[in-house]
Amino acid sequence: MDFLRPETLAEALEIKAERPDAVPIAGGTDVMVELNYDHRRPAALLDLTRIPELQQWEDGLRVGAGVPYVRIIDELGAQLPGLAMASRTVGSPQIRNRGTVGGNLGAASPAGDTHPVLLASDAVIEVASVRGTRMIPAAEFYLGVKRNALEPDELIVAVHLTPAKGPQQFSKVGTRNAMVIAVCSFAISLFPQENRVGAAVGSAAPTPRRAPEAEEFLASALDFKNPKPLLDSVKREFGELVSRAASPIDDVRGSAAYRKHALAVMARRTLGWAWQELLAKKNGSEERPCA
Amino acid sequence: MIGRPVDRVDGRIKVTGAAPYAADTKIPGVTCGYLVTSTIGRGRLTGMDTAAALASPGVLAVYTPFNPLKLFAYVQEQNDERFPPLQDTEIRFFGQAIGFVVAETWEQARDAAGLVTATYDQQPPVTEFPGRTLQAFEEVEEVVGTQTVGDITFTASYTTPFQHHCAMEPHATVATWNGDHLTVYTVSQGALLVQRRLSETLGVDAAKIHVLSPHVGGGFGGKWGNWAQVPLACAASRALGRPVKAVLTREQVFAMAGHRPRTKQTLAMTCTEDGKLTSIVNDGVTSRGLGGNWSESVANWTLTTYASPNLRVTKTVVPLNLGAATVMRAPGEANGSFALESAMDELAAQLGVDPVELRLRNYATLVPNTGKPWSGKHLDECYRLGAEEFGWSKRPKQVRATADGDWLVGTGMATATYGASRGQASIKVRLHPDGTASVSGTAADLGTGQYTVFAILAADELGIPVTRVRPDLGDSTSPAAANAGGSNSTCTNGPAVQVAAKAVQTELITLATTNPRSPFYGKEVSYRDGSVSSGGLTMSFGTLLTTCDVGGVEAVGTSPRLVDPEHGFRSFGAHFCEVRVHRLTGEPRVTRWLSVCDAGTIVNAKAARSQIQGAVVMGIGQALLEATEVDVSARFTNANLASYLVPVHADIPRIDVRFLDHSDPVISGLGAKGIGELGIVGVAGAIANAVHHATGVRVRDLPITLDKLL
Ligand SMILES: Cc1cc2nc3c(=O)[nH]c(=O)nc-3n(C[C@H](O)[C@H](O)[C@H](O)COP(=O)(O)OP(=O)(O)OC[C@H]3O[C@@H](n4cnc5c(N)ncnc54)[C@H](O)[C@@H]3O)c2cc1C
Repeated sequence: MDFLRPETLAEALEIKAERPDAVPIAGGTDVMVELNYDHRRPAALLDLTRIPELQQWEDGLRVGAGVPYVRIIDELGAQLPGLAMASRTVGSPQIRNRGTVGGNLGAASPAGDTHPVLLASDAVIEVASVRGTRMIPAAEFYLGVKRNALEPDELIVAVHLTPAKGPQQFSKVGTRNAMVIAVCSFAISLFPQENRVGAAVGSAAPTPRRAPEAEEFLASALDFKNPKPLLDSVKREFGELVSRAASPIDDVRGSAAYRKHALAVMARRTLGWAWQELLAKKNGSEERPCA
Repeated sequence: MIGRPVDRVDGRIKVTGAAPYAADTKIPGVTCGYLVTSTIGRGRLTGMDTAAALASPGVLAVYTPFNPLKLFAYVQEQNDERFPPLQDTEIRFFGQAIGFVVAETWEQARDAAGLVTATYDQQPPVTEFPGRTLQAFEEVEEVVGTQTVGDITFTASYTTPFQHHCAMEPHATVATWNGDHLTVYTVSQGALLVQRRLSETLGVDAAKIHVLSPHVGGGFGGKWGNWAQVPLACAASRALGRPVKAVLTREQVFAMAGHRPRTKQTLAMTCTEDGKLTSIVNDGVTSRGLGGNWSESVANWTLTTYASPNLRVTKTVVPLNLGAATVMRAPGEANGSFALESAMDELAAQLGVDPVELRLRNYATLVPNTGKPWSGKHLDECYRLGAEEFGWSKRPKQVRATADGDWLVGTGMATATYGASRGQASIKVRLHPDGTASVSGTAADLGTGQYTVFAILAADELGIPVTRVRPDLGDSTSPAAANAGGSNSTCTNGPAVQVAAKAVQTELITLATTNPRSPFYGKEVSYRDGSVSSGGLTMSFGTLLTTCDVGGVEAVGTSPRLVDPEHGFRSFGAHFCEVRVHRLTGEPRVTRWLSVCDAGTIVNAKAARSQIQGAVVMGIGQALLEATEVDVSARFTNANLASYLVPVHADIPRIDVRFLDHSDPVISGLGAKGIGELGIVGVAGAIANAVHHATGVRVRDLPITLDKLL
């Protein structure tokens, strides 16, 4: 197995064009597990950890694919609260030191924790090859179980996200309290200026996906200009529509019925938290309810 | 000194990485062995192609049943594998060793192992439990009394899944020969267990086998037995004339290095209107892996827990195409108590009696199945102290009575008991000219604190600080002490350490009075606090040895096996816990814990507390998380630590542990009984009872996962 170590993005893209079979490795927290279990024996590994462009984030926001979770939590928690919440639930401190959003996107597991947040907050994935750069909206990025929109010669370069314009929440149900793959997960982002809501489910369909009917329902049911306490009927309907957006399966972590049920619960719960935050802001209090 | 909290004497070398574990052993020229394992669950090997592996870089040899390393049949009945590896072509379970590749490096061996192919004559494996079986058989275990009638009847069945030990350190063995002498660095709960097994199967005099297992990264029963890598590394090293190291992968540990069997218990109890038990019948069913012989006597805990004039337990064994089932922390009691402690809670509810009160009404002042008196039993004090400290009296009688936001809150309790005994042990104590003492015996420390027990007891008897005692464990050339199993280490080895530390004082006095260089030559002397005195002269043993120019004095002390047909011996305890279950998602969380233990003399309060806490953590895993799944091909499908869930820190609340201060003078002068397994007994029952109290849902099938609570 060749171990290729480019120093710049340009060099990495050239190698990837020449050797599309080379498997990129960032934090290695997915790749090394696969190698260890002999699930895959690539002819070459393409180490991305020496490429400065991938390790940086810029205002705007453009977050390099190789920025590890621990930095998203420490440096971007205020601007990207939803992504930071999801990042905090990933693995253990060791995994958060190594693991990256780029790696989560590369693996494209339906259970990856950042996906619902990226979908709910309109993230755009910047991918590049020697042929040029493509900007792929998150909603078009996930194609199937562990399949994404990358061409064989492309690398993920960055994730583009606007700093949160309103409250964001993420929730995950696991079979234990940490170090666990989600049974199902849910993310919500409020865009009060635009009278709009983003909502997405994880680990509840072949790919992470948005819940468009639930989003549209909330946009029409909520008054962002003059927010009033939420009606239970609104929460319930929202939960129901989120649950309907999923097409889960039975597996060892949980049954399809449980996932549908839990998604509705998480949707109601996170909407409650997010709305509470919005109300508190309007009333001049900066206090944020804790998740 | 005995009973105070003492830091582990081996703590520093463990946290700094200096403690040598088996796989750390570095021998020049060491080669690596990698096991090839079967990919079917039942049948016969018809052929293997090893040509590609043999041609692979660095490969020295590929052993298979068609080109085996000679190993003689296992003689001693043990709870590990029935047959030595590679000696026959029968496939008994998925993941059975069918080949052993030895190469210059581990990567080369692993790579080559992947190139070995096998053909099989396949049969459908048997995995159904209880279900249709190959040859189920019922053994009636024990019957006391004959009647099974009372006014009130309760019947229910309880089931538990396969579980795995999941010790952090995987099974590793490094073997090297010097002429016809074998040295083995290996994981083990007792160096002598390895020596005996290897002597049998290699056909080598045990005196020529030196086993070293100074540090073990967790065992929980999974390192009592010797699994395939042990004889193979030794035999391959002999054949190749090179040292061989073999380490099982985590998946291989799951497949072949033992598991807790699946069980089912059907309990039928009758009692009078005021809640006095008149009969308990427990029909236990246990799986047995065809890789081994062992099975759990899962119903037997029922024989010794509550007073009842009529008792009957049975055992039905269901052989399955799996690796050996083996002992795992409180084998029998951990599963057995889940059923009986759940049933007692259910019966209490049926009678409208408080669960603690029901246990006190059925308190066994004599051993229920033999009628003998206990050596010592203060379980009633555990219940009372526990109830008081936990605030049990404030517990609502109704289920589903307390909510905190979206969380339903409940409390539960259960009894813990585990058998105690004292075996024979010999220990050597040696005094050195530098003023230190060493204490040695073949005992093992799996993280239990046995090193520190040796240091404390020797220091106490010699009257010197713990820091001046150096315990040596896990070496087969030391005097024969207790293996680490059956919660037997401290109660067996402890008294022997005391005997040896006394005996060495006699040796020192003899030296002091008979060595011409000694200032005490020909005088009357006494020993106290590390020094010899006579008249006005006092001299530490280090100075005395230096003055006499003697390299040390030593003595071996033996504490005999306790034969006491008059008494029943057990450790006791009571668990109290609070559980929260989310009203909408069903997530169960343990939020408060108290264990009160009556286990005789506690030698080291700190390590003892940590033993009970660790066992409670393991019990929380048993109750809420742990289950190994088997698919139709008889493969354990979640054979890794990502899919087999053990508790993480965030799952564990503060665990409060109290020890009652009652020495047991009948078991030994030291008065210590066992605590290694006691702590897990009853944990799953207490949690199931608290979950029921919180939600009104009774789960009789472990683990209690969220989907069962909706
Ligand atoms: C113990 C443990 C716990 C875990 N817990 C969680 C969890 O709770 N939640 C969760 O979501 N995940 C979890 N994971 C999975 C993993 O940590 C995450 O998916 C992580 O985001 C992967 O990032 P990485 O940088 O380590 O990726 P890598 O392993 O380096 O790569 C992952 C995949 O992405 C590809 N890739 C990486 N970077 C690029 C790039 N720039 N361009 C194109 N392709 C790329 C790789 O080729 C590979 O296919 C866990 C893993 C482990 C081992």
